[in-house]
Amino acid sequence: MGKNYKSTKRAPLIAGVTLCVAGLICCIIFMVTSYKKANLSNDMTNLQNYASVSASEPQSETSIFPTANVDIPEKNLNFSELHKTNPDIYAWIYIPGTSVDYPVLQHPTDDTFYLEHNIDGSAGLPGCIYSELLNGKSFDDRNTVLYGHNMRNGSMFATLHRYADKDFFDANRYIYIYTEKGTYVYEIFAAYTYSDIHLLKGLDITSDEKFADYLESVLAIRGMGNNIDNSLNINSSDRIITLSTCTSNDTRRFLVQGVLLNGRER
Amino acid sequence: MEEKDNNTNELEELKLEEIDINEDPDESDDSQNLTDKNSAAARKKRKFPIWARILTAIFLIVVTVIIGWNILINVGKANLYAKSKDAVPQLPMELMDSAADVADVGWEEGWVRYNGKIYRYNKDVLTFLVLGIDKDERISDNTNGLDGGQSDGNFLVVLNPDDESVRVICINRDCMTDIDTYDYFGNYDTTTKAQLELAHAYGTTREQNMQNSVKAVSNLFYGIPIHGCVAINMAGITSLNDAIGGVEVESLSTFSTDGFDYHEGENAVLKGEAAYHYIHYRDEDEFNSNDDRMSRQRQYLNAFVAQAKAAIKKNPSLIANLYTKLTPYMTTDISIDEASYIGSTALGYSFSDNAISSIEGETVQGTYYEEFYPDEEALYQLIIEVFYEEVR
Repeated sequence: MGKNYKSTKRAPLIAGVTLCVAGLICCIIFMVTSYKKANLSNDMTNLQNYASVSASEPQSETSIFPTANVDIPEKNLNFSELHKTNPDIYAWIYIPGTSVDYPVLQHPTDDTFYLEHNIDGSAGLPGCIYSELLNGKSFDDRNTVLYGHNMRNGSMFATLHRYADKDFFDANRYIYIYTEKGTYVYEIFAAYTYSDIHLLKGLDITSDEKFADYLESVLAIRGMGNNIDNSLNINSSDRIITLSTCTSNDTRRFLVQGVLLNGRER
Repeated sequence: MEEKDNNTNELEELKLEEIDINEDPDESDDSQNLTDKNSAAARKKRKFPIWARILTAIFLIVVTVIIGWNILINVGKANLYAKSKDAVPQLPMELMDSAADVADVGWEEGWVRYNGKIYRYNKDVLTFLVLGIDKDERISDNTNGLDGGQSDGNFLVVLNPDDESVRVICINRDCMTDIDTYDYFGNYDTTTKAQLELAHAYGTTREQNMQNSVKAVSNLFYGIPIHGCVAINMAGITSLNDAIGGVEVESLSTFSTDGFDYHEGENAVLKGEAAYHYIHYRDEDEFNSNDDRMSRQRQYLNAFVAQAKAAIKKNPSLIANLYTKLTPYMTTDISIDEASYIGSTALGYSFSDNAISSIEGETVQGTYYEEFYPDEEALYQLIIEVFYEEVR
């Protein structure tokens, strides 16, 4: 009886302390997360300062760099400044209609480094848009694969998911890759969910024949939410880009693929 | 989440059942009292404790059976729906501190735009593939990787709890689609475009044969989930047919085969092999004779379902009976608990002649065999109609 009495007397005290502790924990979590968020957006706005889109104007190219015969949104990119920020930056990707407007990086030794490291080298999300060492930095491989997280806040490659909408797919068809040498333009021909197979290691595209088989298999994929344009006559002499991001399913990836227009006859 | 819902549903159902049971004994007592108005009633009252004991025992047995049955069908239900879990996008397991606001990407995973409107997969729908295999015997083990037999009949049966309907989609067996091929020893060879019916031939076990067909059909239908499959050797049709006392149809065509004669427009109750030949026969010399056969199969199916429903309503134990009758002729990945759920639900659903549709398309003569090319536009529209629901 005595024990019971004691415990009921103590109950309000315990409840009070618990409440205080819980409140304190909540405060700490809120402060930490908002600090992280502020840091993150600072990083991004700083970067955006290096690049600003101005009026669209046909790009004047040197004869060495093949042109794409497409109007290119001009960006004032200062690659030497970008290199000072991070020497692994080698290109800039911009997709009108999405929020994809980021530097492209490649780590000299560790392929997975930028999966969870930011532009300033700090560990954590959102990471960077990056390619792996199996790809060169000159966009002349049969398939250049760029990775980016499917961030819940819509950053990095999250807005690529808009390409699952046929109306959006039909209206937003170009990917622009700015480099020091010039600008590469890709016309998007496919957006679909696919297995998480490693596209460069798991699929053999080392010969024109194998590459043609692969392209054929992509164009034949059947899925209700897939958008695939068969009309571009893509063949093994083409060069493609694949943008890969996550889906809600661990073993599935959402891919957006474009064919390089520079030097391509249409 | 889903499991939790199921459990609460189960509890509610159980409570309802118990209330029903409670009422029953009272009613029977009342009626007994009404009929026995003589002095015997007094004696009965003295015996009441014994009756009470027996009633309690019966009550307990009934409750146990009902609880067991409910658990069985609810487990079956959960198992079935788990199979399409991946088709329904889960919330992203996100990659960002949880305090971050969710940006409006403007598009949800799994949405499909069709004619300007947005649709999503209807996760309430249950889809089953029913295959009629061209083997005239009981099921037996395969002797090699090419021995599975072809699927002459290919049907998708779709249960939709939203409008409580059953729909059947007949798929032309000559439908040209991607199928996985295997060699004699059962090793994967390649994926090639061929007649759908061939998919079932490949594989070293009956389960592999069946799954190869499931994969081919799901791919043909743009990746819709298939919750279960039954492959029935044609010979099983006879016993199934006879178990419900034969099926009455008005013959759609005139033909003779294996000593059985059919006359167009003539009414007949098909029994035993007569039923088998009615849905199996086709004039192999005639181009596109499969169309003629498919309309007979469709008509037969319709009549069969109507008669089976009536027979099962009269005698519910017929479901188990049919299952047992079919077992020697059938391969399935539908377990007994799943079958019980399907049986108990589908019985109340509507099934009308216009609930049977087939894939539109065109049959052309290939080098050796006929090839059916589906009208992709029409197929896509059919999938939206049957398996999807409008978001906005």
